[in-house]
Amino acid sequence: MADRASVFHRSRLSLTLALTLATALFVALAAQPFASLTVSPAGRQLFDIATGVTTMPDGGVITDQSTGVELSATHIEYLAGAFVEARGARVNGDFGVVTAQSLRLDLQSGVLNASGGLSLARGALTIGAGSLAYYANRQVAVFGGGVVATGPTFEADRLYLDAVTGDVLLVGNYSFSDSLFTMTSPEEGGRLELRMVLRDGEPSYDAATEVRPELLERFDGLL
Amino acid sequence: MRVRHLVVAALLLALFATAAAQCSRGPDTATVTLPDFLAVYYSQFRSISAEDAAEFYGGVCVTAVGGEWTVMAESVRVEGLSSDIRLEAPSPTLYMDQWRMTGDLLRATTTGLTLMNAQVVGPDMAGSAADLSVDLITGRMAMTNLKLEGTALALRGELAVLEGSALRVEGAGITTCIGLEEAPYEVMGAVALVNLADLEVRLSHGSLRVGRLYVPLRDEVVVSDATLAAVELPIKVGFNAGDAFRGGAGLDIRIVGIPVAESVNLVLGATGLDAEHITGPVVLLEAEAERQEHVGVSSVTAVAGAEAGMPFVDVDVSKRLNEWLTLGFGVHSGAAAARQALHQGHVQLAAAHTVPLFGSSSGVRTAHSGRLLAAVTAITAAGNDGAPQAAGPRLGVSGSSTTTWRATSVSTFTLVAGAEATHYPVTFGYNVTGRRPVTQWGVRLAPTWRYANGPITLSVAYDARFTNSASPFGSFVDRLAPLQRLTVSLRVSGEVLETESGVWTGSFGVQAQYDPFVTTSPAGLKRLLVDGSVTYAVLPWSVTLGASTELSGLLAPVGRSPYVQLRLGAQRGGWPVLNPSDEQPNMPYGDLELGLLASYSLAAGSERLTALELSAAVPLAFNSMELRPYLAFDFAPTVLSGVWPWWSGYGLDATFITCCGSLTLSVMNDRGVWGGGIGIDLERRPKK
Repeated sequence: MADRASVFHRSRLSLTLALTLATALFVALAAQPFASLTVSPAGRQLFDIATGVTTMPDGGVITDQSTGVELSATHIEYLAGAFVEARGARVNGDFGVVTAQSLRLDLQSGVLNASGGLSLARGALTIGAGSLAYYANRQVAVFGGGVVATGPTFEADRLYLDAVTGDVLLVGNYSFSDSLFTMTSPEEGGRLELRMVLRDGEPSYDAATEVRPELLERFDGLL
Repeated sequence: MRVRHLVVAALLLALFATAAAQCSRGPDTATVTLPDFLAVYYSQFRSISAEDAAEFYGGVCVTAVGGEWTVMAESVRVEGLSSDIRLEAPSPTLYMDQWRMTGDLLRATTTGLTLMNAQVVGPDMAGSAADLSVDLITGRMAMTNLKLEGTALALRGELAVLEGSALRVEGAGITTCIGLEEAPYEVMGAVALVNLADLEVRLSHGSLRVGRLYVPLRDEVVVSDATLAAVELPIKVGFNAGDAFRGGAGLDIRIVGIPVAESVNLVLGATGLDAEHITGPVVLLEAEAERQEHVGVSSVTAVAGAEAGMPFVDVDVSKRLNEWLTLGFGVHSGAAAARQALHQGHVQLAAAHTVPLFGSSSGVRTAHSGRLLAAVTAITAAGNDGAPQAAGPRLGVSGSSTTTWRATSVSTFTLVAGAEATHYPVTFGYNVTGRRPVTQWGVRLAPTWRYANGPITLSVAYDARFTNSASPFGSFVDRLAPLQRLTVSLRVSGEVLETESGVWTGSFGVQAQYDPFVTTSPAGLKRLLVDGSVTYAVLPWSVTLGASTELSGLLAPVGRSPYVQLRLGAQRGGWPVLNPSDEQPNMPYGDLELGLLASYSLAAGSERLTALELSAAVPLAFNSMELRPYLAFDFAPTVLSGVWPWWSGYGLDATFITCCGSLTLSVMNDRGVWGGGIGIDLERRPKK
């Protein structure tokens, strides 16, 4: 009984940490969306006077002064007030590390898109996805292209994150695997709400297959 | 690993609930699976961290991978997720083996589950329990205040424990009365063992409660479908042939097996209850006891009281001396119903032994028996007759052997050989002409060959008995009679033809008896009986046409009176229905029977129609009673003499349908001969 309880508890705790880290990242990005960036090139810095685009072929580091979140990449192009594009990107903060092969930040629409080897890691926890779209103005993130988490292990077609509340919605076919059992969505897909709560001061999630209307409204137009 | 699975099983039992006998996954059904152990199907789920709980709802089904058990419920709440997990499911349905259980509330922990106010449905029984608990580790199920009902009996108990197909019930009560708040009678016992596989109940140290009267029963009572099907009422009805003044002759009704003490029963009744005979009371105490010996058992049986109003005593003691030798002695005084009176004390030594001949694989076996007898015997014409017809000592010795040879898989040869001698040193009585010593001897040789293969059965037998018939006591006691008789019997029966509309079956038989030598009767053909019938069954009807004829009287002057007889009969079940438009019409259990019987005498000089009988029995079913009157009229006098037909037979089957089963009383008069019977059907009860 004790073994069973502890395993179940560890699984739930791991899921909680993973989702909490993802939430923290986007809450940080959304604090003052891309308004105060500090750019530190690692080598050459090329400025195209025709387009105004600055290229850092040797990469560099862009830091959001308001949150301390740091973006480092092997190749960066940016146009002040318009966009930032990066390859071999790595976003580091208190929440952990997000990596992606390519990243584009549209500074006007406030949308961040990342794809290719996208992952979020902290300690033993890893969440991977095919793509990421973060809507900074709505403070909503969408992981797509197949979301995979390990330790705990779960999979979902898509993962929606409310960066304000930390609530998560798994959409499509999803499964949650534990060392003892596997929880599977209906064959035709479904939705699983993971609502962040604090329990004994620790972030935790309540799960529900019936999604609250207010959460669906947060993701309106994106589902 | 197993412990871990059990823990999780309990968790999930405590976790979820919706299953039919087998869970099935629908397009909107989410699942939780535990490899090689469990599958859980649910529609909706939510966890409540603040309460350390989770809820499954919208239909939940949990089933073991092997299908050993399944739980279904509309919703399940799981608590103690981070500590001691427990479950509650309102209005669940639990399936285990062939049992389906529902209840108000299911509570489960990692080690067991409890179902409150449970309703239980099994393959042959259904009922309720105040609470039902299952040990998930051992599989043991316990129920309190259990009540189960089947088609034939109802069972209750204060505590019942089910392990596999064995149910142990403490404080048990069994009755055939179903649906009553308090059964008018009940067999009660401290412990009842119920085998649910064959529905057999063994009840020890029990008592019979009738109303508020309690009667102790023997050490163990066994109730099963077989015993219920073969149950006999303790009421015997018979008709003993005999003239009007013979004690015990006529209609005989007696209640048997009334327990008065351990191994002692009382018989109460009367003989000669019809108007043409003398009525006499029957009050008999019957006792028997057995003792297990090193080999076999020794026994004592005793009957004492009044038979047809006259004193009657019969005591028989049998003691097994060794594997093949038995010593017996006893006394007898009185007359059985409608029989002569016998007063006797006897001692006998009997031996019996069976051995294979020519090796056990030869198929030849022989059984030997022998007897030494010493008795003092007196017979009188009746129980109240003090003057003996014959009285005196008897000293006898006899031996016999029966050899059976199973020659082939379809044929058997049997040879019975025996010899006996009885010496009567001195005999007196008004039927005895002299008091000098006499000795009776007898020798018997009886070979029989029997062939049975499929629908054909053929037997040929010869019975040769040689004796001087010297017993002064007559055939009632031991007088032998000589005989030389050849008997041949052939019967062919079976299905003849099956068509789309019905089945034809037929039967044909010949039986002949021929005495080749003069004995006490002349030699010649004594019997030649030929009969045949064909039946066509097309449900719900069954029609039979049959004929039989006795021809020996035509072929030999010593034969029986010849005749030919034709029979036409029809049966139909389930008709007539008196209230066909009712929601539950009264369908009769008895058959509608129609019959025509024609008999013609072929005796020389008296050839004539002897019977032309039309008969009908019609069942009439009501809510709590079924009547089946029977009437037969013989139209032979009408055909021959133009007079009214003769009322040749009448009878009535009356069935009383109660919550404790149904009781059928039957009485019939067939051409002046009375008959009757009593039957019960414990599975027939009033419609609900």
